[in-house]
Amino acid sequence: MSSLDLHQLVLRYPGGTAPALAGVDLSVASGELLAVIGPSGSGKSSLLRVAAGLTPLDAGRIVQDGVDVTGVPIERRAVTMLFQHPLLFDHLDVLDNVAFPLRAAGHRRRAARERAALHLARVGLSALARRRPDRLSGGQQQRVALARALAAARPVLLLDEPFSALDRETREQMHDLLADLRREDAPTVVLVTHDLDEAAGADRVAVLIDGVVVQVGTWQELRSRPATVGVARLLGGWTEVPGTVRDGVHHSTWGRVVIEPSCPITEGAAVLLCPTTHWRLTLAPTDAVLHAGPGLHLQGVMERLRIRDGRSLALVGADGTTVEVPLAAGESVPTGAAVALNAPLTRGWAVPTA
Amino acid sequence: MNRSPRALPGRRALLDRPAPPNRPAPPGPVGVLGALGVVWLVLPLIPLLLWGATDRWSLRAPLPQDWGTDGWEQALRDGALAAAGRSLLLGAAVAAIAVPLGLAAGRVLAWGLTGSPRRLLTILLAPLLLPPVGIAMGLDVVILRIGVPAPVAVTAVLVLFALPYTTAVAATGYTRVTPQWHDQARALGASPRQAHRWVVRPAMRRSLLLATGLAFLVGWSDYAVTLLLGGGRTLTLPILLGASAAGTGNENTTAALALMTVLLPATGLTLTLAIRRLAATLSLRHAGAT
Repeated sequence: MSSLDLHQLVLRYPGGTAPALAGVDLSVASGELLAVIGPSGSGKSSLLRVAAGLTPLDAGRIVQDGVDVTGVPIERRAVTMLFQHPLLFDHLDVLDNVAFPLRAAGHRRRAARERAALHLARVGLSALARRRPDRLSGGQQQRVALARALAAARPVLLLDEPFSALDRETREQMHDLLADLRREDAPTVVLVTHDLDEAAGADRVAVLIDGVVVQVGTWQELRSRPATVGVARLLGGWTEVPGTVRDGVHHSTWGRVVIEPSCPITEGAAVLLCPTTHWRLTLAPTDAVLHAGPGLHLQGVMERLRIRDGRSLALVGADGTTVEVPLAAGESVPTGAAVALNAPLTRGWAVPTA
Repeated sequence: MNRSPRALPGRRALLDRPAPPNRPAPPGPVGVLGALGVVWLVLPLIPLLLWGATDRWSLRAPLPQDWGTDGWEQALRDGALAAAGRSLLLGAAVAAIAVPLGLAAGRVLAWGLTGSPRRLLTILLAPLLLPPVGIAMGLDVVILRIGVPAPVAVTAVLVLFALPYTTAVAATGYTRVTPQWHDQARALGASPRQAHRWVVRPAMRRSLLLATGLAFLVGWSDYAVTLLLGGGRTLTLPILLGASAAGTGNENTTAALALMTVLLPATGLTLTLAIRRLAATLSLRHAGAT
């Protein structure tokens, strides 16, 4: 087991207008699984490459188990990395692929292959030991890549979206496999992913936007308390209500909502984040409906229906924005219908305006 | 991570999907086209084979009247073996220079290591855009004036003609063998040198072989550049063949020379492929990472 600490990492690509990494600070505890999420181009893969030592830093320090390893090449670090593609060496059969790190470590061929066979058995592919990599399915190839990484016997695993190209079922099987491996070996894992379900399974999640870590926390913390509008947009499930915070209350054209004391803003322009699931929709609204009860109220027009994860969402246009409202099973709203929306918030979560 | 590997619990059975078996696929459209290609290549050889085994074959006769080896004997007396040796040297020299240059250029292009790939590509393809005879005529004058030895001039120009082929083949190879292969090998504990030796080089072997073959053939089979820049003193097999073909009544000698021009590299290619297959079998038996 091994901890990994990244201090003020800065990386600039030649010709790039903004740094790919602009002072990233991140700590991964020994045996922890940290997921790194962020929009495309936010610097996730760059972060993993500099953490691995594959890309040289412009500034910053990388400390592993209390030892500064900045500038140490990857082959001499206690780190291994899995890429999005399995990158199996097609001139070697499956067993020799898994034996590769053992051979690189100086083991004799027979010993390396014997040990590799055990690692191959761990991922359930012993029967395919003599097969060429191009004769394997995508899931099998990624499992061989995982077995090969395990054979490297390094305490830190850096995973750069290794399961993203797999179908859902195979991806879930790979998650199970990774969970099994963690139970067995407790490696420290940094997992870069676009898949929020994958991130939800991590011990902690770091959100990287424009080369900066904007929030680190458990999945529940991020889900319920996004630190910025960017994080809220990345995770989805929020309606942004622009307004102003004064005296602990968020004021907007849609209503007034008391904000929680722990909000990252106490005064000034702020976006109230209203969970999509809080909206209630009423057809043929009257004044009584439009202004009833606490929270947010607005009138809009049903624009269209959207299906997401098997659930129906009404997209309602109101005040120049579109609000997503979940519909109950069997509920339908005709396009163009005038509707009233109400989110009976007693307390809300506000963040600074982006 | 350093513990002994153990079988993991879990849904292993579900994970094991049937994979395609290791058996050759039945011939598809590609196989049929390949067969047609072979016929296309072999058909022109049939008259040459007949002429090469003929001592006398009059115009009206459907088949030779006298079978024999006069043509081959005459070709040998004309210096065919020495000419073949010179062609071999020329082909090897062209390959020895054009392949490393092509590999470097191919890697630069495929891995995006240059800011102006179009410019590099234009420079490399330029020799294919202009007729070689015209270029050779122009260069002949220049080379005579600056006193470059003929064999050097011929080799240098043929290297330029071979470069587009070697670059294209190398670039195709490096498109498959991305820098990530190198990174992956290093992430598994190999030094940069080991990563190149154990991963990149073996994976590029096929491209290397193809580029070498093509560059060799550019040197081996060249006529115009060798004739014009060599000033008739660089007597290679195609030059001898051209001279023989310009005459009449010596069709059997011309056929023997033409067959030598075709069959020697074909034999070399067959041998190389056989050795490669043997090496691949041995490397599978022998080789972990090395």
